[in-house]
Amino acid sequence: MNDYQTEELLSAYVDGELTPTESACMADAIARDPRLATRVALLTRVKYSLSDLAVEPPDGIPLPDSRWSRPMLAIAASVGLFVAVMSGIMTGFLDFGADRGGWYQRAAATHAEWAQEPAAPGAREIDANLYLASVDRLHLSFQAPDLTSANLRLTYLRFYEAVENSTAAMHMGYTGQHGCRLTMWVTRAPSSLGTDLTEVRDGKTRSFRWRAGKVAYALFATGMAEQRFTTIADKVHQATRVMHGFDDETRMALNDISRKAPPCAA
Amino acid sequence: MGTGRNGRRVEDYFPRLYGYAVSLSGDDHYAHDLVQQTALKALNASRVPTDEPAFRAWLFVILRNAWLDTIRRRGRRLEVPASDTDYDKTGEETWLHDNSLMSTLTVKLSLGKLSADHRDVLGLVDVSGFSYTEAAEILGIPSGTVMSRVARARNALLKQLESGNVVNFPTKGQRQGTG
Repeated sequence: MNDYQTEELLSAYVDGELTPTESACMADAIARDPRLATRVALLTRVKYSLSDLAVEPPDGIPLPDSRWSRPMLAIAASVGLFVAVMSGIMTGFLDFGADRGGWYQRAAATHAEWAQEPAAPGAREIDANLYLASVDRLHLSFQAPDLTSANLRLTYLRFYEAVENSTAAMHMGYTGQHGCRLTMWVTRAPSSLGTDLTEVRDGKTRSFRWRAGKVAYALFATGMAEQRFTTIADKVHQATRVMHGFDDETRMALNDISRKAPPCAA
Repeated sequence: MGTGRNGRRVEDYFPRLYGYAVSLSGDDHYAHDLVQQTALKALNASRVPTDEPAFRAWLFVILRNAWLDTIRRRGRRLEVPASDTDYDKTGEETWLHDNSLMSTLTVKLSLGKLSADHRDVLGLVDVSGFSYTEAAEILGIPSGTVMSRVARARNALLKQLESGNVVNFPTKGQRQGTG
């Protein structure tokens, strides 16, 4: 028997797909050969690691209404999203000063500190594996938006352990070619945080925050034109609500506003 | 709402459908959407299999077709399908693979780097728990092909795990960025 056949039989053995006779022969061979035993243990581990993927996402999956066709769902979602975005931004001004303790103040202070740091020459894009490894530490399901269409690259990543008043958090820093700095702060959402996109103005600092599922997001920008920042926040907010990456239309909109906006003042 | 008996039947399979969708798309958020599309189609279907194994297979076929439709609609190029004859001879290093490198995260990362065929078959057999015969029916291929494809897919997965997909976690409070 060659390696190819052995591998197939071992794999089928792990899956319980051999006949009783084949299975008994294989069990005997495994008992006599430690290398086969090691391989079976490894294949079994792979199998059960993969089975761990069969879990619902942390926020669950709602059962859709069977009476609605997909176009109707899309229209309803668009209308709902429009209302939500508009009301969110509007109430954001009224919401000034609310819910800023703990995580949000920590995010604002961290962004301010990072924005003051001189740009590292030749800052490279964050490695995707490193990013995913950091995400895993937060135990939250979310994605960092790809903002390259807005001329911003993810160049900074730092995980923060939980402290007395704040949960663990991740700081993702995006930089532009002309010194723009944008922070996306992610942490477990407090129950008081709403799902609408909420703008907060505090002196010269302008930011957005919202909740999607169990995740709290905050965006801070330094040196960026207001309209560009608003558009980015709106698109990122939408992406986190529908839990999907940017589509082509969104990428074009981000690219358009980034080209038209004044260069960063940082 | 689309509840009732069929709704509950569909919901029972959400975790496995979601796991399969993650295997196919490699994207948690997109997987969420695929499961919802599947549920919607199932709830709107005029004829639903009553037999439970047939119902389960039917749901996975819907999800798989939805994924293939999306790829075609978006003009996304499918990766070169895994050949069933290009078996990569198992080397000593793989056989002595360090078990400690395996975690759900690293396995998930490595799964995303496999060919579409390999992700598909592991998504059905390992993630969703189908037998070779059931997976063969869903994929429309002989069960013997499923057997060899599973073996090759696992071999490829182990090679991915071994080839440096694992990232050491940073030490507590250590800065990771370059900015």
